[in-house]
Amino acid sequence: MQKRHVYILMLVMSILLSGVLAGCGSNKNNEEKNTVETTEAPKKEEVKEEVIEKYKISMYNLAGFRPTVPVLPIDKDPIRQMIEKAMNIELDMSVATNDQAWDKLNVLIASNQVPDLLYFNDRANAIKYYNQGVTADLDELLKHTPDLMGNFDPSRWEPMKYNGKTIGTPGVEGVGGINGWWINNDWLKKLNLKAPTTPEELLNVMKAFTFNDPDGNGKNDTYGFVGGLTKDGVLGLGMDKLFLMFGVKPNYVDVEDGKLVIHNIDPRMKEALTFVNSVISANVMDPDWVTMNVGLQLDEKMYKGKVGIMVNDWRRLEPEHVKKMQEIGGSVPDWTAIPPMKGPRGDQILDLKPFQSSQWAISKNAAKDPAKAKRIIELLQYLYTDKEAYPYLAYGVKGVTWTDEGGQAKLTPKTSYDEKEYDWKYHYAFVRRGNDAAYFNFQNPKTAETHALNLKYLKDNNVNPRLVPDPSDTLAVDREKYMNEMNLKFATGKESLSKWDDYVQTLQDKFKLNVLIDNYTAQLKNDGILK
Amino acid sequence: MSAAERLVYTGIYLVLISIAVVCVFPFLYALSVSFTSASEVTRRGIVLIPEHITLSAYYEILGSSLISNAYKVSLFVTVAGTFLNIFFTMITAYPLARKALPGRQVILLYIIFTMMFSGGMIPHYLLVKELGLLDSVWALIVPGLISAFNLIIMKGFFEQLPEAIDESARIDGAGEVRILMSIVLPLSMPIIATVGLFYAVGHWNSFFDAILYIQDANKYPVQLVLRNILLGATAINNENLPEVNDAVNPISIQMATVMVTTLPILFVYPFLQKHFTKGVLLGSIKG
Repeated sequence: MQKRHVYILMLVMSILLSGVLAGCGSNKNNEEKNTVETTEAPKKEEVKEEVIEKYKISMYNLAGFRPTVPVLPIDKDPIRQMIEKAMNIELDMSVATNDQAWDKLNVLIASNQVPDLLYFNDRANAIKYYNQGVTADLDELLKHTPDLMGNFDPSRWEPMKYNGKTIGTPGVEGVGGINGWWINNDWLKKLNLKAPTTPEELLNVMKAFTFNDPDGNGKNDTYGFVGGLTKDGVLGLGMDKLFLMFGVKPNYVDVEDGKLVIHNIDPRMKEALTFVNSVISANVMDPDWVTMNVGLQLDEKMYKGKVGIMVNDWRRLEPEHVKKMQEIGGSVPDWTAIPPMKGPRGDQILDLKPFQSSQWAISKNAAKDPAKAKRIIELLQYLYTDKEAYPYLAYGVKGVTWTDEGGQAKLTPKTSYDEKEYDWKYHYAFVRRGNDAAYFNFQNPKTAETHALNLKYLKDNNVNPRLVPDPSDTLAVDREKYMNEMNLKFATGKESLSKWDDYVQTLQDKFKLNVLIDNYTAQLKNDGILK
Repeated sequence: MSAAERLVYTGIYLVLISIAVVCVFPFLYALSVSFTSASEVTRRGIVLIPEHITLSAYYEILGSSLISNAYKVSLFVTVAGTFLNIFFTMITAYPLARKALPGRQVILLYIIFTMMFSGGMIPHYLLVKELGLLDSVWALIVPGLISAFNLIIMKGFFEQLPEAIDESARIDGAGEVRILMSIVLPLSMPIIATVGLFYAVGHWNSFFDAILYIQDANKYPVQLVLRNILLGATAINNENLPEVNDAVNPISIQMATVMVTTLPILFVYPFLQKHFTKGVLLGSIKG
């Protein structure tokens, strides 16, 4: 009986195996067939010559700002019609949200349907797919498009290089200094205090805001500060700014005086953690901070007005937010933007400068047909540099979402049309410039002032975002988890800071920090950042 | 009933009521929040009885132009899909439940194997692509036509039907198909209700297959459309983009979404419940 079972099992296994093998086999054949087809294509091209052919270009667009909004059929999408006409192409665009993007891309690659034009949100992904042979070098192609080259600052092109080759073109332009310090000026006046300028003063103001009844309602219901935690347990939503007063940032890596510095084990980090711990243990933080992980929650705290200091978006004095403060908090506090505090070594840092990490890449399959690849790079050039197309791409449908007022584009109020019906326009808005006043369309003059203030205190950021994890570093995940855990324990006082040296030692012994340092050093030397 | 017994019963009921409250509370909370304005929720924290009832969250999600199409797709997939599921599961399970079938063990093993080890996402996608089902609602039905687990439950049920009924039908001149349709089918209502419910809930709740296989927004099922509303603009960019926080939907819309997606399938339960318990028990004992 036993024996029979074994035979049956073996039989089944062999049937299954043969099925699997057959599947692999036929797949390979398909691939070969396809590559043959694509390599034949350019030959046909040469015969035709000069005849401008219409190409079908598939675009995996992760750059848009509303990835959950479906792409409209071409007959309902005037902007895609405009692009198709201008470039003589058929543009097959697809979008995906963060949680689906890579699964979807992987199945497309596996089934040999690699999109011709792909978007990567960061350098790590761009390099990963380049190394897998999915995307192509662009150096030769970019010679066709000098305008595209000239459109971006060299500092935005430089991160597109990998091993000396350009593997992408700059994606969305980042905006620096989004989040800055806000303080409730009414409370400061009520308590006769000045805006803080150092960590010590900051802590004192937080204490006063918490315990001295700044709103004068006789109840102990106010707090000095609120922050949050990211989903991985890293202190954020403003808590990270407390660290920057000491010149460090959790999980950040930098090059200082020609040397690689891992902030998580830097002595300044110990100092910063001591300060953060003093803030947390002084009970001046809204206790909700432990459950906060998205900006929306921070906004709610701001609208409610029971917290006196926070780090939030520079656009919070725009009418829509002021309206919510009135509705929810019952009054509009005099929220004032202040510069970041000056730390013990004179560091006055609000945030890091944006780093051009996102990029467009062209698939190797598409690059095999030089004429098609040329058309794709020209498409990118058109999207980013064409002056006539820009307002349509960045602002949407003329006469509905924007109007032309004497040569100046102006957004129409969002209440004048059904906003949701036009959300698809954001699929093309990735070309918008970071300083485009018409695009951001601020109503309150203070908003621009606040941003200008924030922009003064940005730190160079040319090291950390270019580092890519080493796939063979098996401890990477555990190591990061350990560091996050310990950081949080030190900050909340669960672990005494006298154990700091043990922590650094454990990182080196058990979690092989040197493997990480060697990997980073090699990468930075390769990129010419470290000598 | 003695005093002691009464005390015990009171205790039991108190425990049961408190468990019921724990179960019902989140649902009630979601219901209330869905009828409350976003600013009231923020102001009050926890809302059980809204000060002002507003339908704005429902207007917002049901006003999306995709939603009526999505309901049609979901209904089709759930109804037609479940019908086909039951049909194919039954005609597979019935012969496997008959001891006379040669090679029964091998076939069963072959099926159970798929329960333990599945090909994974990419082979599935390749299969659907080769079948030419991409961008078709059938891609949401055909690949999962028979679930190995439900097949085993159903086979277990068929095995416990007395073979004597079978024989008597045969003596009266019924063929296999006739036996299945006229004798076994009417006797199997409990198991059909149970397995049908499993399949229907599965169809109603699934969204990931639609993400993978369906490109045309007019063929999205409800779950996918509402999920997109729920996610707002979780754009993939991790750079400094001011746009990322702009399109997060407030909690009242999120809760209204929860209501709209769960209520229809929740209403099916009471009608199937009496069959359901019986079916699950039968299937579980006779494996």
